[in-house]
Amino acid sequence: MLKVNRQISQISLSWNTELLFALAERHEGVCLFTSVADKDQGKNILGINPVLNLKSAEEIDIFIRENKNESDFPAILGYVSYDYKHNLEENGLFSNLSDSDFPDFLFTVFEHYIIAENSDRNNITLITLSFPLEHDKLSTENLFNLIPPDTKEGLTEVLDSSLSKKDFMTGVDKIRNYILQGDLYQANLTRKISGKTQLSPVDTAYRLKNSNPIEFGVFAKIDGKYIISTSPERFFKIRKGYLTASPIKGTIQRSDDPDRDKKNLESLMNSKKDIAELAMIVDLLRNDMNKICSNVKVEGFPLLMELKNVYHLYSDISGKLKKKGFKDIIKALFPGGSITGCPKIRACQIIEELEKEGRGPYTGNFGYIGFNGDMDFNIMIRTLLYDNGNISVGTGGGITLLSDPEEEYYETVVKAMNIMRSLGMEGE
Amino acid sequence: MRLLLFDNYDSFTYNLRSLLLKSDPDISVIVKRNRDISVFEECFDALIISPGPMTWTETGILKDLFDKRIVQDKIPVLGICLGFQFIAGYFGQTIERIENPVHGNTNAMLHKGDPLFRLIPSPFKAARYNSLGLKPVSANKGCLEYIAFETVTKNIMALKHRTLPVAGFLFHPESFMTGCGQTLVKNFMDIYVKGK
Repeated sequence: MLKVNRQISQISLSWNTELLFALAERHEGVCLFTSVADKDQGKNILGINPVLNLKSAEEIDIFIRENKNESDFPAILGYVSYDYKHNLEENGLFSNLSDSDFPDFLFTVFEHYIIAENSDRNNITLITLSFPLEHDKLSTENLFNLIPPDTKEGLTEVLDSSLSKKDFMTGVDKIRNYILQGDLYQANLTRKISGKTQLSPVDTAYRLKNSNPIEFGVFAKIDGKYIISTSPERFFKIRKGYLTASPIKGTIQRSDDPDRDKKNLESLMNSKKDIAELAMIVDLLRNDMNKICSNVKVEGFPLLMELKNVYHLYSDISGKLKKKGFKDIIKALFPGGSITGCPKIRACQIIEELEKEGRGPYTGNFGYIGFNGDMDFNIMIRTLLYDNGNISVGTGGGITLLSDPEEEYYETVVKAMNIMRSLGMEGE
Repeated sequence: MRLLLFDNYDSFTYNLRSLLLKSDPDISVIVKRNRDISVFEECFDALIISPGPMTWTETGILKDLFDKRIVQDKIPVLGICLGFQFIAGYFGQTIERIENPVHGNTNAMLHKGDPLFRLIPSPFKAARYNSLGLKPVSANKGCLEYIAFETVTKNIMALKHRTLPVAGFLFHPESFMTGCGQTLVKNFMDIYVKGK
């Protein structure tokens, strides 16, 4: 039995996202941020001073049961990496590839939570938990006197890719052959680009955030390493017992020229390949949701997401939860269908064969589990891993029978370069 | 009424289960994966074969289940996609790559007024996820009857057995893109399982 008590206070504080990142940097924190300019209701959540790591979905469910309350915060913050999948399926279906640098499953209860609403830049809510156990306490007395250090310029260079252009294109061809012989309908093939940056973790996160306003950002410090995500994709959210998944499929670059931009938009809306890919993933997510929900409905298909650099197609699918434990939810839904392919199990096997190494946190899911049972998780795309100046970025795309190997490779270059350029990378 | 839903490690199986449960609130559906030998101990009124990856010969213990139980006990069967391909293959037809493979899109299909298509217009639209199937002209249909076709390529989209209560759809009634899925499953339940 581990029951925590909470104390809530409103604090008048002029804040910005740099301050939240700097606090996370200083106090081993996790910051979930929302930077879409026109979404005023966006909420930023920061947990600092980690006290308790919950090691499995069962431990999470027990903790939530013992600490149930009505409000969504505080919350357990954390992530499941893509490689965790072998813990959720029958033995022998998947190999246990893993990324050695980051844990596959990490969920943390913090001593302090800061909730900062984008609509109010002058106040924050501070929630402090007290635990019936010994731990290092962090005084809040001088917490907010922290002045974020000035941003420093720095260069970033790309050094390596986990798959060469040739290997990636061969992978695309192999997937097309698998599709023709009936093994699957679609698979997501990705590669990891690694490099070095002179930027600090906070500067890296700040540059990424500014280059690409999104809803599901993460800045997390984990044992001196960092996960920095600027993901536009929600995996699923749970509000009052209803689950909504919002898979993205289909991307096109935007243009500064309005005519060109409109043409790009029309070509995406009329793209048979993209709409078919989205349809597949909608059917896949309906399937996964039907394991734990009743009344599963497609709320919108296809829907358009307008971001600064790109347009995306996505869909909303909702259902009423029958099984509410994280254990049931994770088993039914993870990893997210939009980054595996379909059918999911066979797609994951083929991905293992072609990608040859684990994905780590990339394409896993970061989010929160509220003490009231609400949840919100992203899909960790457009996500950078940072370790002492060494960085790694995953990039990939959905491969179907209609895919062209050269074009698919080029798409992975464009996606990665959008990130690398914002970090001061020069040239191609 | 108890249905056995035979899952070929697919990602649409639970959509099929939801469709079956909606067709009749009194039925129960048990899902078993295709390597699970406990199916031989199960009692069930009908077998539903899920879609799935790979080919009809890679469906675990399904052939064994047909050999030992389904055919001799005349248990009603509905096969979807890979399930359709299994039925065609098991009863002697050749499954091969077809022209016009489709994944995640609908095609217009014609049916021949078979009772399974009661209340369904012809042509009708249904979702497809397949690269393999039956060629339009099959010299020897044997014990099978073909009851729906893709309008352009004339590929076979639905079949039934002439004497056993066995039917299959190559398209996907459980997809959100197939409007008539609920009616099709209800027709199967009424005609094949409840004998109405």
